[in-house]
Amino acid sequence: MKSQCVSRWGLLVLAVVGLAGNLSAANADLVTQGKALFQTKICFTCHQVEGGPPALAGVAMKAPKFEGNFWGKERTVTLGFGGKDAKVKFDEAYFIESIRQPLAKVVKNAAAPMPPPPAVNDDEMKALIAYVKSLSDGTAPAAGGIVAKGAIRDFKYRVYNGSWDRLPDFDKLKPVKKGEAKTGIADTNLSKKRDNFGIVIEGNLEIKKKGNYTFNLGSDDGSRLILNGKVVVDNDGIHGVKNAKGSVSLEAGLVPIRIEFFEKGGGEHLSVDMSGPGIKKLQLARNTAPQGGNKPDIATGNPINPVNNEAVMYRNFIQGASPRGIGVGYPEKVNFCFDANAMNIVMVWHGAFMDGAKHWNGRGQGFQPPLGHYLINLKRVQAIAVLPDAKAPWPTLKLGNNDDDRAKGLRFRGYRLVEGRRPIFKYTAGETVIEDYVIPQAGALPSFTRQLTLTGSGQYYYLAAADGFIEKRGNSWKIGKTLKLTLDSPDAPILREGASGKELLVPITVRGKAIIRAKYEWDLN
Amino acid sequence: MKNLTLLAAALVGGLVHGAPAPKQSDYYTFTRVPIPADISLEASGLAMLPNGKLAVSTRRGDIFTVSNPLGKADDMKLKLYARGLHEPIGLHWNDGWLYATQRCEVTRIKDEDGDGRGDVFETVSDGWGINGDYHEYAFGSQFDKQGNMWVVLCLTGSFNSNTPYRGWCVRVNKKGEMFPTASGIRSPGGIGLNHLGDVFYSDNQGPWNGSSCIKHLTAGSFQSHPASYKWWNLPLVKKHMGPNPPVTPNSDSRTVKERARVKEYVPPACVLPHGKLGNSTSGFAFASNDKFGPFKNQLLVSDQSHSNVSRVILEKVNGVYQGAAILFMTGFGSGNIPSFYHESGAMFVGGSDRGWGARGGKRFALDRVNWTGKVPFEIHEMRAKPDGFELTFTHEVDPKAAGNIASYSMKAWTYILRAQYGSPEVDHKTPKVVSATVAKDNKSVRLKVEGLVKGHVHHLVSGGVRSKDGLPLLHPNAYYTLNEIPKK
Repeated sequence: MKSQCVSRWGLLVLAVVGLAGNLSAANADLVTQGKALFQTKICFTCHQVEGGPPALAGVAMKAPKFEGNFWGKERTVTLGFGGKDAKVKFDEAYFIESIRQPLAKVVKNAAAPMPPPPAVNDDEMKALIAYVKSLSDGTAPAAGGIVAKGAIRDFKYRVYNGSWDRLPDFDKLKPVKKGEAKTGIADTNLSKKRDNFGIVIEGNLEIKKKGNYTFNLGSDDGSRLILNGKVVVDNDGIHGVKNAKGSVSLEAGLVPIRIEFFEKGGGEHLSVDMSGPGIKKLQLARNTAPQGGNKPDIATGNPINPVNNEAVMYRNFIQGASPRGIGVGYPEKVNFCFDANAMNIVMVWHGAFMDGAKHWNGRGQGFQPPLGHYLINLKRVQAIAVLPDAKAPWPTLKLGNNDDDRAKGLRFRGYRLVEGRRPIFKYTAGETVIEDYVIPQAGALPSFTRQLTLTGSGQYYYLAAADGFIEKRGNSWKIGKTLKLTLDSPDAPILREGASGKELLVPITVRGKAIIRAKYEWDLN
Repeated sequence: MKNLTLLAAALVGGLVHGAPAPKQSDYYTFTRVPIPADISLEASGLAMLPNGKLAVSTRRGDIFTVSNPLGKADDMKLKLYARGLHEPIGLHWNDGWLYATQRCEVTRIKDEDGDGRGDVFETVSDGWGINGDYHEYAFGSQFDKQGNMWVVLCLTGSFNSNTPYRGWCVRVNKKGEMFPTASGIRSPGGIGLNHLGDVFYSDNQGPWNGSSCIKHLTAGSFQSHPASYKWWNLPLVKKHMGPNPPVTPNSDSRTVKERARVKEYVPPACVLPHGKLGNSTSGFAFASNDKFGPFKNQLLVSDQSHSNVSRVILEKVNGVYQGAAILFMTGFGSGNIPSFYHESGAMFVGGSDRGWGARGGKRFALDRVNWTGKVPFEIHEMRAKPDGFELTFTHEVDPKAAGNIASYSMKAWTYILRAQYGSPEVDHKTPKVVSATVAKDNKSVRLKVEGLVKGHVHHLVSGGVRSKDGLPLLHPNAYYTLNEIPKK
């Protein structure tokens, strides 16, 4: 990876001295349209593309893949299905003919000719061509630190290294890299590092018509957009992809623009676009930085957050929980994930709740991590169990996404929404009903109280916490690095050594009804 | 090329006695439910509520209600009923509860405080496994006469069953008990009961499925994909399905051959030939009365990819379901998934093209279809005979045209039964229509066919048949899956 980086930067120098990227904004739009059409016209079910969903139907049909360098290359076809061999060049004419007359020239060795797709009109054809062409190596969008031609004139960039929680005063810092081009586009890929870096872009926007312009600034982590020396959009701070908008009245002529951006850890994102008189949507920034490594790839674009002062739920594949994760987000800016396999709260976090992007686009593959910040992963074990005595080991669950190990002796019964559509989860241990209710508290550092109500009879145990580090602090317990837990229970909790660290166990004797409360607070010290 | 095609279309179906050619809209009208810009109605389930509102579940996990669903589009209004469910497919009203089959469980929902939104979500059964693969869909039926919901569980991807009961049909009762019921499921697209209460589901082209089709589910049956055998070690499976799985079918074989080896194997009741009637068979409904034309009790089967609905006309021969598929209507807004027939004579079809694409062109849509009262000239039924087929028609035929063997042509083929994905059409045959005898009432014709092939799809083109009024058939192609040739 390192040697590649070196050559990438070699290319950058070339780019800066005049070699521009090869996708104009108009063409980029066409490629985007083509990408959507590739789906709606069902091309993708058979023609495999790099990184696309598996085109399994195409495997059976032996349909050509749109991978590697294919555009402009020669291929062997048969004239008519099963007819005589011929050579053709994969170009626009051949592409159009293949769609309009799929039987005319069929790729040799295909198991069947292409079934006629839904009608493709001429405009759609142009977009499809632009997209398919872009899939071929030879014309793929520039990657690797090239300043692509873009809408920012007199383009200058500076890259900084450092770890910040908010945008620093970049002008007081020393850049590790800088460059310029006649025109350009802001790009996360200008930085060689993928974590702990900042970028400042400066240049001019050519405003043709006086009027009100809107700028949409999206970033992970913080960013700021400055025009004519004034902050138009402020999107500062540590966060997942978050969008902010600002509008400003601009005179015709050249308007100085400055974009500031920093990334601390994890995935990074920067997007800036403008709209206004005569401009539908002009892209000023993009992300071509590889989002590789072990960093979570947070798909975004469909934020889910509480509205109308009501709680919101998201039941799907949530990263950090079993496939039966149920996310709950509160207007108090505190969120948790209940796991209906473990029958316990397995994650808690602050701020933004979830994003549906992974599951609401395409087929919906994968696990979506929580948005927001101060995420605490709690041990994925069941909350309630029947033990022979307080020394008996707590039941463990096999973990991993391929696992379907459920809480022992418990059965999930669903939930009931009370005022503000806040859920009370319900599960049973034999005849005993357990109601699991979270009462959030707003604040600078929001917290919540978990209330467990057991109705029935018998001797149960509640595993309030399991962690490598558990220590008594006054009336509370410090769990791991950031969690402060305060217990309110009839029976005193027992701190014991478990199979993998410490366990804080609360005995519960149920005769009719028993209530246990646990207050979860974030202790960042 | 385009002009030529248009010209040909005009010649074939164009002008009849100077009158414009009949078209679908003469017989069935579409009303598209208006969807506000901030709602993604990726419809996945439909149920009529007792208050006259139509509940629509979506792939995003919402349930909306549509008020005035039987009225004018302008008067319809969407309201959020529930949010945050896990891709619920299959929505049914029963005993005062709205049942939703989520990926992970069957849930029943109630609006206890009467504010038009569900507030009690009870887990009825979550007895099957789920491991985070997008393919692991679950489809639930309406309850059968015994009070069981039939749930078909898609495999993990196309080839494997990585967590319990993937590739299975299970029954769930209202007490929350679950009964393993049938193995061999691949990738369902819908499930439902016919008018007799027999249960069918649609399965999609892929491994061990040469083409998408409608299959008959019975307790103990095997439906063709052996990945599901993996769970025969579970005590509940042994209890309800016997100690051992069926014989494993051979790959690169044929359905008709493997039926003889695997006694539990129930062959597809009706193939909807891949690429011809669709690529992805999904939900279905049937008209329970005569308010939707003369097609009462025929299965009206959707396709997600072609955004169409075909009629599937089934009969039982030698104890096995089989029958014909005939295109019924096209032009739905998106990729059809759920359908629901309302006794007022309205068929609702909803859909989403996300992830698979559809001809409809919209990302999501909900359409209502009503009958105009005018009967299209169609093949009404197609039934197998020991030496051919019998066709009945929706109108009297011109006996000359219908009695002429040149009015018909037939091809037959089957598919490879194999572990690999899908299959081309193979073993092509050309059965010959040797006589065509029109009944006295001119409402049916008896075709004698030489060269029927057991197990093959028989594609009959009745291009030359005309009605008494000289109209051609609105849909001249019929695809009959001949699992069994009747003895008499």
